[in-house]
Amino acid sequence: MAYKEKPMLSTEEMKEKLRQLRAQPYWWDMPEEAYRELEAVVGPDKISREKVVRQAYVGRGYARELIWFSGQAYPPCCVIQPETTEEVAEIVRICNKYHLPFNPCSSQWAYNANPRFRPDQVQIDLQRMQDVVIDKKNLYARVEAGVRYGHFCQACFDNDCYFINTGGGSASCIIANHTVWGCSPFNYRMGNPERRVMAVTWISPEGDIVRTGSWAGRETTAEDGFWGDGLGPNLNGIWRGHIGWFGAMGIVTEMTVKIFPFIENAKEAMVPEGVTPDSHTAFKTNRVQWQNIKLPSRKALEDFMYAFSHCQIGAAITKVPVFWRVIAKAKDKEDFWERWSGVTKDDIENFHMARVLLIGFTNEKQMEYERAVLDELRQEFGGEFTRTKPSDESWFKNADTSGMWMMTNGYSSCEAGQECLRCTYETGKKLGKLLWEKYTPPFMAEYGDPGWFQSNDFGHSSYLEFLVYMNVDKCDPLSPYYDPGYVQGMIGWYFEETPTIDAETGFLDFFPASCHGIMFQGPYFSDYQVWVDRFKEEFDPRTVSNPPAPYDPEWITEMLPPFMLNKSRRFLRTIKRGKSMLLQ
Amino acid sequence: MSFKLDLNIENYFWESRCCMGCAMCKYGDWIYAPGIAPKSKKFIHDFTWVCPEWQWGKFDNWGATGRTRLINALFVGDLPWEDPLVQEAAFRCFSCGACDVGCKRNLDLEILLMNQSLKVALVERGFARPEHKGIIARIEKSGNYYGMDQKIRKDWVTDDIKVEDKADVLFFVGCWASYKYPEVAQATARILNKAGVPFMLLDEERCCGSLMYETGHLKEFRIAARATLEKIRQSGAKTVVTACGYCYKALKVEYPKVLDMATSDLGFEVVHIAEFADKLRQEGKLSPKEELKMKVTYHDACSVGRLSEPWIPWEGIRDAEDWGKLKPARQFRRGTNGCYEPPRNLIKAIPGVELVEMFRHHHNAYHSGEGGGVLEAYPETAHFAADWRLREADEFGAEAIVTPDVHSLHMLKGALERVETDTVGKVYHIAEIVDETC
Repeated sequence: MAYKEKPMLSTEEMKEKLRQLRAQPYWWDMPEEAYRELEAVVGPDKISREKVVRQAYVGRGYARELIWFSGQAYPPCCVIQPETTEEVAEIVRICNKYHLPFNPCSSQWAYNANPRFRPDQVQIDLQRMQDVVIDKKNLYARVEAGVRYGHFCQACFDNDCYFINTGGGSASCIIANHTVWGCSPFNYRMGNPERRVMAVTWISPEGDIVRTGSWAGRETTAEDGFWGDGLGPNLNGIWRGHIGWFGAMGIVTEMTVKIFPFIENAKEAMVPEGVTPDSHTAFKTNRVQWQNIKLPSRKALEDFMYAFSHCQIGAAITKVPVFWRVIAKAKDKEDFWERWSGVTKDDIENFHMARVLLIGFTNEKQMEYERAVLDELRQEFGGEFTRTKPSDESWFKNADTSGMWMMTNGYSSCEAGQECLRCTYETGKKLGKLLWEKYTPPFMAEYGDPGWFQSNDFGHSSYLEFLVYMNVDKCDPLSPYYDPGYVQGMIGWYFEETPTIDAETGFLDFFPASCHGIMFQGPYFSDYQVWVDRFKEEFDPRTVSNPPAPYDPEWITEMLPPFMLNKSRRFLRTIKRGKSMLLQ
Repeated sequence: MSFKLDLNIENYFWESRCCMGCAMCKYGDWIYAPGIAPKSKKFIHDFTWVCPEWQWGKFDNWGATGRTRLINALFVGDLPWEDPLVQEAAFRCFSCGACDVGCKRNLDLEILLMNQSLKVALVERGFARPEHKGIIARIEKSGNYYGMDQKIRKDWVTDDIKVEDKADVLFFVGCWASYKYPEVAQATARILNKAGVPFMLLDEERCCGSLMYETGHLKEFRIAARATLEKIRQSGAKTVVTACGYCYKALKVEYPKVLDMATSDLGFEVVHIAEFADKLRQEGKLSPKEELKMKVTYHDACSVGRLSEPWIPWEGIRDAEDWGKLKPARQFRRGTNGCYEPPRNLIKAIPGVELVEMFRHHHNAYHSGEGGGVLEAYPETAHFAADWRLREADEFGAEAIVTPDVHSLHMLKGALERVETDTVGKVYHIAEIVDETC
């Protein structure tokens, strides 16, 4: 469509739009008495109810929060920055006393993935909790809620160990991510996040300090965080839920996580070079190697990844969407589009690349062995090695997924979850095909690419994440180019098509909990919401722990345009339970 | 939507909507860490901040992420411009551009221009800081930052320094070197003399107006820029050398920016003395001879580093019908083309000197507290930044810090009086250390 200049909406016009969008007044004044009690916990310098401070905490998150709910997220009623577990517990107890909902956040993202749909929440900002203690001998580390991947990974490296780095970027925080997500290509070898977590200090939604694993019953967490279970109650399922409560089941203030031994003198095997953004760690290839293997078909790629995992070699294996590779090469957004315009459906259909990381953890002989096995597999599945740089830009130290926003400034991970390799691949294929055939536009052309998937736990499971990109100007009600028809064109994708494909393939999508609350109901997800309700009633009787997370269809759907609600309801009446491919 | 790279805040509504809070504007990224083991655990947290204002205030309103939301609220009417904390959040910003470099790693949002345009918008609405207004009035009246007599501006020129009446090279001295740190002006002049480079001074040099730009006084800055530009052009200089980072940035970047031209259209070249001296060294006209047994670190002042890339004007559309692409495509300034290597080359050429890098270096360098008019309005925040920069140098075992900027020289010298250090005992301007050893 030809470009047509439209003036920005005036402040008055935006105010009127917001008046229609918002169900409640934007600013809410909390009770003076409650504020004074909170202030007494942390001192006057670490709490604020100034509007400017509160506004700074509005509306972080993914595309849906930024766009669909534009103008509908509220500022908190105050922001408080505790420094200790005891302070957090006291704050939570005060929130309970005054029936004030609270919302934990930390080093950006994760904890705070949902926008606030009510103006009366207390924002508990945990960024001052920055302690890291590494126990190299026993291979675990104690981290507090404000510790982020960038500095933790470096601290591990300094001790010749390593840890995952998340797709959320180096500034994402460890605990927030582990209570929700914890995904990384290194899950291939290190297992999924819940398996890396050991002892935990959990503040229940009512403000009790609960210590699990080998911290159970202890007054201090200074020593022995080695056990996640066995010696103490294993409450991981309660504080973490299936894929995280998104702050709806209290607050985890500290935990111990497993760390993993890396090459001795890691800095010699991986040498930092250059300056951000033109920086990388250069590999000594006798100890660390990338290998890109181009395979002849999608089936061959799937079988290759499966066989590779079963051989228990390598440090990671993944298949990334083709457009990620283009992003990596593009110097800016316009350059991306220039390059992407040269890509065709045939290119995508014929591009089947596995990216493999090999590490000689113990010595060069391990590398030689793994390389030999890889070569045998490559030949067996008709693959060929393609050129790759002997360096790393992101996997070990910073995974700057925010670069994924570059080409449209808005994306949505519409599907993510863990199943077996076959299931994730099948789901990705179906999603890619349907997106291309029926939903391009409104979404960006991905030409049927099955998305990002990788092998976890040496192939015991696989992770799939499927991304769609939209035109943010047409989605944001405050943009002069806002187009309700465009938004409506996306609704079917989110609320009907993706759940239907999930049901067909047996794929359990992580996202219903946080974003697709409406899909969380009924048999599709094993009546999971019944369990969620029971736990919430038991542990959070006043519903103060970050409502409406982890789901609350009524809350969320109230915020959505009416047509979304109707479609969703129709969908819920027709959905049938799918057969899990794991059971086939 | 039409979009122009300028200081009109309406052009940055996009930025205020599209920030998703990834915090690359907040923390440094470890991938560029040189791998030097820190002395203490402080390294784990304190030296990873890139935004000094945010580190000082801790709450998110003090950083770029919070500021995008703040600006959005101003646009849609959720916050009033009159809120004193809006003004404070804007004017405590050092305009050092660390957030901008971080953001451009991922999203290419124009965060620094957005911050700067907020200051301009506040000044236009009558919310300028009184401290800034006072100094700017003083500059307009006296021609210099200190309100001192212009007649003594050249008193730093001692008998051993040879200044020509007419030359291709013009040394633009700046207020701080002229009045407060004459040793820097003298060192710069001696370097030029030693290398046999004839240079002249402006007859009536006036303040470059940098503080006006930094504090959002756009109208006043335009007047100062036009006047100085006219004088330099009249002088016939082909090359303008500065030893002050803020004069360097003003002449090279901000003048073209506010006068709607490219740096290449100035009609003369603007170079920092570090660039100029390194070129002379490479040509064999300047060679360090004196041994200096010392471990030094180099502080990349933002004015000479990430903010000194040539200005490239751009005007076009962000095509809402075509994924928000900029048309025509534009070249981004991401801080990577600043003056980084010349000062390091000069230091490394000094016999006996060992150059160690701090954790935050090149365009990821931490600010030393002098910019944005923060020192004038909120000295406690400025000193906080300088103190942390000094601690970082000390953490890496440096005995001296070398800086290319007179303002950061001032800040770091002040920090040296406040902070107890293990190793750092001296702060040099790059011209001083080069002059001492050549």
